[in-house]
Amino acid sequence: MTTPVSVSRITASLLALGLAMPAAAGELTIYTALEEEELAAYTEAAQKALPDVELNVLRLSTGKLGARILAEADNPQADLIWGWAVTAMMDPRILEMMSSYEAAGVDVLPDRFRDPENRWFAPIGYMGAFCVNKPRLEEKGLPMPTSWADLAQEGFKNEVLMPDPNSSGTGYLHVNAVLQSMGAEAGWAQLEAVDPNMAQYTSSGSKPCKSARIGEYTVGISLAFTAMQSIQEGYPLAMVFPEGGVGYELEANGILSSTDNAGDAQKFLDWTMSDEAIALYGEYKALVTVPGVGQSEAAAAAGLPEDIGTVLADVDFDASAKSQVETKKEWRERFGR
Amino acid sequence: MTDKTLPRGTSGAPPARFDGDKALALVCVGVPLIGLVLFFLYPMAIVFLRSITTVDGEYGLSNYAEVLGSSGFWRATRHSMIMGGATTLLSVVLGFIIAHGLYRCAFRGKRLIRAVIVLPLLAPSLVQALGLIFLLGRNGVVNQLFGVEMEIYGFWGLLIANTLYALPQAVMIIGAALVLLDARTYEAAEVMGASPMRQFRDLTLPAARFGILNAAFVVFIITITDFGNAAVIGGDYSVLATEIYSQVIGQRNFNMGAVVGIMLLLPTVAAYYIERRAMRLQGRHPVNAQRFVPRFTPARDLPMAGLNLLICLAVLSVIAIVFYASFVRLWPYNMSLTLKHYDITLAGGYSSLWITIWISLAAAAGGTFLVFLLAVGLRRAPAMLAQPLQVLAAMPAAVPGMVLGLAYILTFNSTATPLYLLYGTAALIGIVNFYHYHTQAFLTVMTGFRQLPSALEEAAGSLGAGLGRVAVNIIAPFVAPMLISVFFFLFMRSMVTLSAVVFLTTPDLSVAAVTIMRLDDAGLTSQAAAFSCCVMAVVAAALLGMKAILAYLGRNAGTGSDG
Amino acid sequence: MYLTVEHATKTFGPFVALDDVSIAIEKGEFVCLLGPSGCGKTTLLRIIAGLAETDSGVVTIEGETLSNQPARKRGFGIVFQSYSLFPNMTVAENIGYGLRIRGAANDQIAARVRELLELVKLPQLADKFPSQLSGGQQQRIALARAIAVDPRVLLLDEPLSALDAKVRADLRSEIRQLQRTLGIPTLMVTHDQEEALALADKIICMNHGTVVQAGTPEDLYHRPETRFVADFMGTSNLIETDVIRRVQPDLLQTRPDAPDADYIACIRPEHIELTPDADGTATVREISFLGNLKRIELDSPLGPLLVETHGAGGFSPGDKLALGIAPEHCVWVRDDVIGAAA
Repeated sequence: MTTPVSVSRITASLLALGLAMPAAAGELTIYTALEEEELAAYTEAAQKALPDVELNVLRLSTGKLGARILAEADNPQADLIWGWAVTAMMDPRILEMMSSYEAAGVDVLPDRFRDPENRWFAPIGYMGAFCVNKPRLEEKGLPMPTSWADLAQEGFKNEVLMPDPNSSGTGYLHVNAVLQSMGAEAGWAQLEAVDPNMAQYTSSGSKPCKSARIGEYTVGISLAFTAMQSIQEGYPLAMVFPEGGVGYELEANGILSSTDNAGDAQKFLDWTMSDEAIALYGEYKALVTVPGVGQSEAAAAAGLPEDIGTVLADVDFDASAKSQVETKKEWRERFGR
Repeated sequence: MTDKTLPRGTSGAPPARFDGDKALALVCVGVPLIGLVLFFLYPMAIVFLRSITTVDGEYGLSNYAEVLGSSGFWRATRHSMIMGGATTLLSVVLGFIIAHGLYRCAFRGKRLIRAVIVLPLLAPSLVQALGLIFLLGRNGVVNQLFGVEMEIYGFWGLLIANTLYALPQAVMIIGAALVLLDARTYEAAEVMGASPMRQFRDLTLPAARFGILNAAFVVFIITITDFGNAAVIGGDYSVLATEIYSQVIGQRNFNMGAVVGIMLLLPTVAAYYIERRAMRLQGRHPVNAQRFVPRFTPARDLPMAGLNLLICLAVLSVIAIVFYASFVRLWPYNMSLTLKHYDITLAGGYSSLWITIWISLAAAAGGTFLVFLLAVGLRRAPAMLAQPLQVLAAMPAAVPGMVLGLAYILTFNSTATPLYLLYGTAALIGIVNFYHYHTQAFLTVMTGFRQLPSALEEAAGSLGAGLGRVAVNIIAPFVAPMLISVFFFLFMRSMVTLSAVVFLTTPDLSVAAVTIMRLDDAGLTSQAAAFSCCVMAVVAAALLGMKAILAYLGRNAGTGSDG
Repeated sequence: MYLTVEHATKTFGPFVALDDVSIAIEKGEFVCLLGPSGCGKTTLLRIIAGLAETDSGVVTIEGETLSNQPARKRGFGIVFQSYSLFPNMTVAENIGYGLRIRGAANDQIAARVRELLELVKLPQLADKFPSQLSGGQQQRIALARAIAVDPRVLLLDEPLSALDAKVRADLRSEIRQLQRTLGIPTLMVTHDQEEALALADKIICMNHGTVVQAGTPEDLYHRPETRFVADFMGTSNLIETDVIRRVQPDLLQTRPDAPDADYIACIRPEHIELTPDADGTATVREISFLGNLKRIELDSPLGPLLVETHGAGGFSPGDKLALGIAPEHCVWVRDDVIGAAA
């Protein structure tokens, strides 16, 4: 049971929520897919830097956020999209909803990390990785895999998990990287060779790593973030970047053209390229596209090379976005279960 | 046959000339009907429109053609039907064993069985998934103990997970049919020399048929619409719900997802139709107030108690292992105990818990009231209105939560109607929770209503009681056990349901299930488990509190209610 | 006429439950609706109660038309065959329910409940729940509940059929006594002719949705108008016209002038006198001893006959007897039983 005070407080908040509108002046509604921990740090700093703007941040995973933004398209609720997969952002239906704004300081980013029409820019990103469970690897007497080709070995039968590209952005990230770095023909052949060893194609991008870390499977093709976070927690995992380059994804920011608080939204985007923000990226992110940012401690601890460029696949995001429908369809035809 | 069965059997409906009562009956049907139309039919109509909206924004059937032409869809359909059938069979058999044990057998510890059996309802889906993996996974306790490597990912794991989730709902509905069975018919059969087996076959089974069929219907459709279990433990066993997820979330193609969502309604309508046909063969079961008090019969009760215990142990172990794991430092590599996972700061911490309780209480109270109104109204409504209304009321479970949630965005995030005022409110979350579980609530109450002898209403009517009084003084006390279980069911599900709600939360308004999802998304599975345990503890405490209040009220009123 | 039903018709799909039925009840009268299953008697009762509607026809009470009044406004009391007590209320609450609805004061209700419990001889049961009562007790309480509100008409829907013989007989006489004392016009539905004969001031005998004959119990028993009534009200010997003409033509004197097939002779078993006679035409086939009387089955030129005697006549099977039937005891009834001759 509760005190009358809290009842009335809830009633008041229900009433207030009853009139929920796109945030008015002094308030910003921000949709993001950034990870919780970094999000908490960034938001706290941004709120301090912009004391007159109330930041209301809604966090959902990349896929769910996309579904929500598109469902709300007729009457968008958000003012800003922050830290969302650029492959998703480049969906024409999303780009249509975005407004152009050249944030202060965005010019330091290389061209491939920003939209030519300034509808988005991506100062940060995340990358894929193999999560390898060391005890299970040992138990099975398997060698540490270092490439996609290694995963095709007999001993990995039913020991590998990866996300289904049709359900998960992470899945597409990996498939796209293999295809782009090896070329379509060799790439499909490589995926074909690994397919018999795949125990499951999961619908979630982090699930393969989470399954591998508790020893359900030996290798989870997943995200570097999840791998690093798991290693930090103490799971006996090794994070492996496959030779030939691992897939990665950019996390883009942009303003929805429907916002009625463009001024504050622009101030916020400016902040995301501020020195303060960039310094924070350095603390949390393995992948920062702003030139000259040092490696984060966590990344070093997890065994990430200092020059991240050496492990990344050469990904053309424009091509990747354009071919994704075709690629996913073909994948489905070849590997759909 | 007495001469009254003929007229009653063919007409059933009492006279329509009630003046003030007529208005009240209209309200009884009207208010829930408006609710169903606004919060189910209207959003689903928009889903339907989306399903026939082609890529170039025009209306046409090309989406359907594409879906029907893909082999993946037919594979998923086949899997869904097989899984639905297998889960239904297993859940109804186990559910019947438990319900029969609870209401028709004599052994101790029924309170405990009742408590254990509802656990999967009050457990967030993460708990069940983790529990099964920790227990039966490739690196799980069972495999470690026996040194085998059993593979649960796929059909069998999914079957177990779906059954765990469906079982309490099957027990709830079958129980509603068994609890009110008349003792006298059993005494009569006993005297006529019918063996217990015969009594079971000739009396219990036929009388419980309505409940069994309703339970089978509910289990079937919640199984074919469930995504959570399929994603976690289904492995590569693709089902229709995973198809929808892949379309809607993976490919951001809601229109194609909508096609599958609409197609999911078909087997549901078919199942409902078959069920109704089967029901028609059964006349109304005459019942009076003689309660059945089972006497201890070893041949029946010992095996039944054993089976009940076994099922309960299985359910309990899944939940208990997660509870235990929430205190383990690093499952399964460092089994030392710690409280650190309960120190939750990310994803809003514990703040969402309290608002979730309020939303759930409101959804449960409002929902129970509406379903009761509807059931009362249906008794007075002409068959022409009552039949389509019954189908409508039984439909919502056929819609996967994800589709319902997105449909709510499409419907209520439009300034075209005043309903927009609801968007982003706690009220809408409560509403979506209720309508998501409308089918189960409705069918449970209807199962109870079927046992209500019309003579009671007629006697009260002849004494001068209007519909309002009949509903409050006669009907409500009679179906009170069902109303209470519906209230608890809605409360529990509202506390932990994620699928629809995830699309309706706002930056200021998050619920417990979303917090659990965010913690798990962040890789903090142990914290998510810890938070889940807190939710379960709060729900359990709330349930116990409410039961205590009910018992207290019951004692004060001195009524013979024994729910 | 206190309560009337005029030209009531009711169909359920193709089934005609009531076909232009008219009945009347006088003030203070106890009327029984008697007939076999499916004859429409319960439908008629439900129409009077307001629990079912007619397709056409009117119900009036003291000249006022009731057709548009819902059951709860009619002020009738009703007792059903099944136990219709409210299971969630005590006996006292059940009885007081009607008064509570009418907004009576609590002490008034309590007094009335006490009075009625005395009346049905169950004062000790006030605080019990229906599930704690026997069937007979439940029906008494149902009766008390029905009369608690001083109903304008008391409707009884086979109130005794679910009870065992002893309880049924007791309750039957109590209902009769109660009705006489209170003077409430009462309509009871039953399929038991003995019950109807014992209770009713007037019996309305129904078949196939129509009233076949209405009258006092004596009328119906001694002067049945149709073969159906004769057959349904107790036992009778039914003999075709041509047999009578051949064997005992003096019985024809009371016969209406009509074709042979239209009428049939009805002779009650107690109206046949038997005298031992070695040259008699009848032979005893079987004798059953029923306490106060004997039932004797005979073979005779009239066909197989059933005779009941009070006398101590010591017949045995095979004995030859002479029959004595007075013409005034031969009632000619219309043969309304379709295909009975076959």
